[in-house]
Amino acid sequence: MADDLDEIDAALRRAMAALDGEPPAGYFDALPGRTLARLDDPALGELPEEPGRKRRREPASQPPVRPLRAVQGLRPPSDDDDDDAVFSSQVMAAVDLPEAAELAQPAAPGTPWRDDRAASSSAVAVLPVPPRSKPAADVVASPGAVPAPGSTASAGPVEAPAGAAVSMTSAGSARHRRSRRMRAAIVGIGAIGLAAVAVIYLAGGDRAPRSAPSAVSAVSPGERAAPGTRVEVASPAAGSATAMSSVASGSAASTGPGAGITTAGSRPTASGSVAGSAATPSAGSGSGAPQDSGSGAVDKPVAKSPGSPGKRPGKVKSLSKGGDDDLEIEPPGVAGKGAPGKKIKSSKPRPDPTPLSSDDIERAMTAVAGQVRACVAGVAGAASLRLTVAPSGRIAQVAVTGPLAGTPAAACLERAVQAATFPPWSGAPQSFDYSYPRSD
Amino acid sequence: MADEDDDLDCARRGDRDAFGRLVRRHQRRVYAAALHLLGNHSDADDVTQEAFVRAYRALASFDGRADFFTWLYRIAVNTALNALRSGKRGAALHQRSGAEAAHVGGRPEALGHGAPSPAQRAEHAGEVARVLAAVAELSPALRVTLVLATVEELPHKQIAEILQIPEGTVAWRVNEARRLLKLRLAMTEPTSVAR
Repeated sequence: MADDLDEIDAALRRAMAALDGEPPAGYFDALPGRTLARLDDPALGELPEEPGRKRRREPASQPPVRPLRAVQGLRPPSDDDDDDAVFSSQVMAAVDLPEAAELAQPAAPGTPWRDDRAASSSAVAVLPVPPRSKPAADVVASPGAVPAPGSTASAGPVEAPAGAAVSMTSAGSARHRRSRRMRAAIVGIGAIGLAAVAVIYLAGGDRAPRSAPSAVSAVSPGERAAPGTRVEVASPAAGSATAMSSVASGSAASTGPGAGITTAGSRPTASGSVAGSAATPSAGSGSGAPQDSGSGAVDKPVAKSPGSPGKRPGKVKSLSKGGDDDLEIEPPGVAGKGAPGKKIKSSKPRPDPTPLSSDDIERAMTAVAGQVRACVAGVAGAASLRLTVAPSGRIAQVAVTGPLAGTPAAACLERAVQAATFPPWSGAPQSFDYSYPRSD
Repeated sequence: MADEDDDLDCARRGDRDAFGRLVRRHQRRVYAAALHLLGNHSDADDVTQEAFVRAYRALASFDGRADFFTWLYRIAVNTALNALRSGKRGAALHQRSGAEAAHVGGRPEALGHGAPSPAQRAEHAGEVARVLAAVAELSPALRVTLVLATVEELPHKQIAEILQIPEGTVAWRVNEARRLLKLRLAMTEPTSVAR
């Protein structure tokens, strides 16, 4: 075995020695001059990315988030659900929304899918509506909307071009693809909704009990909910299908920009509101739940705030008497019995006026200690950092100080530390120095 | 070394001639490393120049605690590694034909033989092509680690510093790369060798 490996090494050295004849005569005489001539090349200059950094392993051909049109053009003709999920994610992330005609591009039997997409990528095809026994599904492109068959889903941010509503063909394969696409969109919506709920829950997690809430009232940071309005993301009763909506304003939800969404199950929440009835994913996020067209999501006002004036703002508390796990987060200024009947329920920013404590800092920095250690493994000198943290809890600025400053390890360190997150607070950004003790 | 320190100080102050002397002093080793990692002169030339330019612009941050060449070498290796990962370079190893390998391998003294016969040259070219193709199929991380350990003969500790990874990872990568290389060479071994 060792002999084999020695032989491998020897073969490798021989092969590499064969390469050594590559540079042409006079190459090394000219290299310094050519290098000096490139010193002002604006395309160069930064130190290369450190190899120790963990990268997402994705093939070089994997496209980043691109316009939906392009995403559609590359969709493989596969029945794989994973493909659907990937496609759905790309669709949901795409900002350049497609023309409706492309979304509903009919596929003639036997025509390769890829060719269909390629042919449709250059222009919007307004196709004639063939006679059908079933009502045609007018499709208006909206990644967040999942129109039910026979329904027309209006899209706030997206307006289909005139005459672009195209009927789906009666070909079974087209329906099958459309069905898969709808499934994928539902999966995407569900994933985004879960992520939103998770973020909301984690943001308030410091003070919330760890039981999973069945109803979380929250306003995401991007929303412009006016005081007295309410945005609620709720799930139906346990055991039933979860209906969730992205509440980020201006997102690709099926309602218009800024319009809040209330999607709730038939079970009344502890705060007394009953939001719609039996909203299901198949009904789409724009149907089944009462909505106001004004800014912010408006539900029935909460008649009474159960908070007490002495309690610290921002506290998450259980609203149900019987140990139910409905949660509510109170922003400062509205908690207490003196608050008006309507109130804002918000989870971010955390209404904690106190800046970061040493425990907060230690906790956040320890969370990324592993990556930091990987950066400085084998490198002499302590890893000293100067950090500025924004009130959002994200690192706004990081600089490596001390002996590692300016070394390749510094760039790696900075990237590693950028991942640290702190509890948000109200006030000005906070700066501090931090040093990781060396283990070796 | 004193000259190098002087040149470094001057280069830090913007003296390009001094930096040119630094380039001249280290260019062969930097180029050799780039060539072994990337497999062809064109890419190696690009990476060599790029590494020197990046080093020049980062000179202010070089505090002199480490050896300048080690620092420069690290930049060069990382530049080459990034180039490999970008997928634009390094394919030349794979595409090199046996004839080309024979041509670039026109240094029989490097192999410890006298003047080779045509058959020997052909055999050598075939072996070089096979090895280079097998190396090209390794992942960039494995390839770089293997070349640094086996061809550049750097100690694992230094490789760990250059690649910013633990020494244990270096050892694992070297072993894994050798294992894969052996496997691929065995798969492509010619059934009969004319001697």
